[in-house]
Amino acid sequence: MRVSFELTRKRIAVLALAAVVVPFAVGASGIVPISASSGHWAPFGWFLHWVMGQTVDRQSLGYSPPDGFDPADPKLVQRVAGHFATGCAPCHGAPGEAQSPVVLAMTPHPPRLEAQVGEWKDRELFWIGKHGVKYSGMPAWATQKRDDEVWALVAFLRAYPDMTPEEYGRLALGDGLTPPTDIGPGEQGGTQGTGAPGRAAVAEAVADCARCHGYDGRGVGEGPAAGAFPVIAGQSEAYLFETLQAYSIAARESGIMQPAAKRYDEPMLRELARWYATQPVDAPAGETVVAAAEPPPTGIPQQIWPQTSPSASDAPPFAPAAAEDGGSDEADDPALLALGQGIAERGIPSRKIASCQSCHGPAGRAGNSVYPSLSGQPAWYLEEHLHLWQEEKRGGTRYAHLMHEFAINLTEEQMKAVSAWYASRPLGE
Amino acid sequence: MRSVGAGEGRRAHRCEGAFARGVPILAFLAFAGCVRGPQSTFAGAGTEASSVEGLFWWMLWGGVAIWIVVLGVGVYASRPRPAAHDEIVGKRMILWGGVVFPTVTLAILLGFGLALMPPFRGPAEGQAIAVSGERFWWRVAYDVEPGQTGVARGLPPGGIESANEIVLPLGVRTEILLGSPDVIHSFWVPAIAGKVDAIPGRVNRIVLEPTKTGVFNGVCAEFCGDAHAQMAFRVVVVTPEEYAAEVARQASPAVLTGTRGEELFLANGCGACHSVRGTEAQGRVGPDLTHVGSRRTIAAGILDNTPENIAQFVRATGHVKQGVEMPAYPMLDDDELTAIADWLGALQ
Repeated sequence: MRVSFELTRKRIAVLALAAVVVPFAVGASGIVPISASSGHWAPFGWFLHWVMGQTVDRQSLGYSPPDGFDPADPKLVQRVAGHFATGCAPCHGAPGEAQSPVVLAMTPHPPRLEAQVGEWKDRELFWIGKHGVKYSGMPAWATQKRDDEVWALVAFLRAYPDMTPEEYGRLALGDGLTPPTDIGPGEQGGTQGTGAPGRAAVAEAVADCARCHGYDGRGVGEGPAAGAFPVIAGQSEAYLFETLQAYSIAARESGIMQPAAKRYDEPMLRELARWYATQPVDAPAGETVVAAAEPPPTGIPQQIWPQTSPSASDAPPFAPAAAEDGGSDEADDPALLALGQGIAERGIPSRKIASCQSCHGPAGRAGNSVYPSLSGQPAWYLEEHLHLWQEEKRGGTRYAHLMHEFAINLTEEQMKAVSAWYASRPLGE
Repeated sequence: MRSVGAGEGRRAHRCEGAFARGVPILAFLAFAGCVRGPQSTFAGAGTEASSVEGLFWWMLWGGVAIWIVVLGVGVYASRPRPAAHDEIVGKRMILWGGVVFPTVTLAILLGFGLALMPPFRGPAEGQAIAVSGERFWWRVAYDVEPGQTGVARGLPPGGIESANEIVLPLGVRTEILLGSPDVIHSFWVPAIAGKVDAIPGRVNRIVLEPTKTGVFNGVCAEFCGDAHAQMAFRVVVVTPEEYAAEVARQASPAVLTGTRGEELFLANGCGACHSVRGTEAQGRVGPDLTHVGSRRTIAAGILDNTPENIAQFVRATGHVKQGVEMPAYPMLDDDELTAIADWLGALQ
């Protein structure tokens, strides 16, 4: 008997129908092995893992680290450590912390990362951190708009295999911080009625924040890791509260702060805002503040508009050309600081850049407490957020959208300059 | 009988056709004659616009003459005597009717047109006004020192700032210096003169010599972005004495009422972009608002200047004017917006 393989219309119709019916029939039969307890059949498990590896490699081809990315930068390691403790360690374990048997009963079970990270390229780690892996339990980064945070994670993971439990505890868990004794709900609880959280709960929540921001709001990290976090001490309560609210409803994007803010309800967010708003910002003794540069006499022409955008190369005559003496630290470049000061205090009207101080200076903040202070913030932080605004990836308080119009007109150099100038100012100015 | 009747019918039909063709032209002439509004070259409110209008009519009638002669010769050649013409006569008709007459007429019109141009380039009188086309409004500065023409380093410094409304003295050849910080715009006041481009990186000039008092419309005549069609302004022509008084008034600081609106305006950082001379608001990114209450329109010739419209614009700038560069302030309460708008409206 001969079997005919000729395709007829009837056969095509039957095949098409079968393509729909058979999967449902198999699905309905109950024979699909979905139990985590049974693990993967070894060859199948190998195949799935192989596919993941291939996919991550190919799909990460389009990603490269931002300019100046240094995976050994202690600031980057510090920056994401606290989030690792709450976001990653519960499944992957941590130095000195075993994985829970609950987690190990997953299929596939999350690997410990000490031995794993060496097998991946930077871009592959970035891709996994940003996008997650479907069906494996690995989540994506909580927002897709903060690649800077995911690159910091890559730096953290590079430092991770050699991290001792003591180091990890200090970086991620707030070890070594001394909790103040005066933490508690605000005295005048009248604004919140009966929903006000209790003393122990507030102390616990502040301790959670303090792992990164410190109890004093200046941010943890010393030496080369100093300045890993924005200074939240002394910002107005209104600004901090609206910012925490914005994080918790994802109006401001951050894979690190969104989960942190979401952990607490509104009365608690208000308590946290109150705590950090009342932390003093007086510069510690011995800290020298970089002297403010003189206003540039030529940097900001007084005519209706100049021909070119003012830049540090229009250095005022008294400023030495700092680039020539090979100074790698741009924060000490007087021409750059002078440019930054000009932008902050007077703006560049011809480039449609308003003066930052109009809103962020003492008078501006006195008028509207939702405008934050920028003085003394880390330069990298200010610059990163100007970039985010430029790319329309930065929300925040009700007023956050105002920044977009100015940020889009700033050049890279101008962003660097104004960030450096604010970083050189005393905190809370 | 039948043949005559048929001939009459044909002729009647031809006349009807000619009439039908003439109607649009007549309608256009009637239309053009009537359009003498504040945004029309036919308003005849400036020497340049008047000479352009004169040129228009000469060109029109010259064109009509060419049209009649050329078609007349064509019709004569083909219709009444369809039989072969004498070759010499035919060549003469082509030469005189088709070549010589149109060429001479056009040459006369060209000469006439060229002769009109030199006066436009003539020297200006009095202080110049600098006008900067900016997405999507007009920065105005009175009493600037007349600058170099052609390529220059930017508009001259100083001057008394205003926006979106230009006051001009009647009968004075006032020089307008034009520039732009962003993209190419074009400055056009059809009733008085125009138009000249405002080009980033150079200063162009145009001289406006108004011959009638009144309020006229100006527009941006070069596509410059989303809100291009909403980038208008007003030109107010007054007597030279009134002009001097008006410039002096513009130069004076704001008369402040010290109300809550002023407080809110400053507290919300509006001064980062806007100046209100006499307050801390010294921003130079957006329009100077020192005397905004005395202008006829807001949002660059788009809305009547009422407190309600100011509040509406500030609340949702992009709704009034899509693509506008001023951010919206929906986060302010209605009563705050009203207070700010009332205060601005009172800045006479």
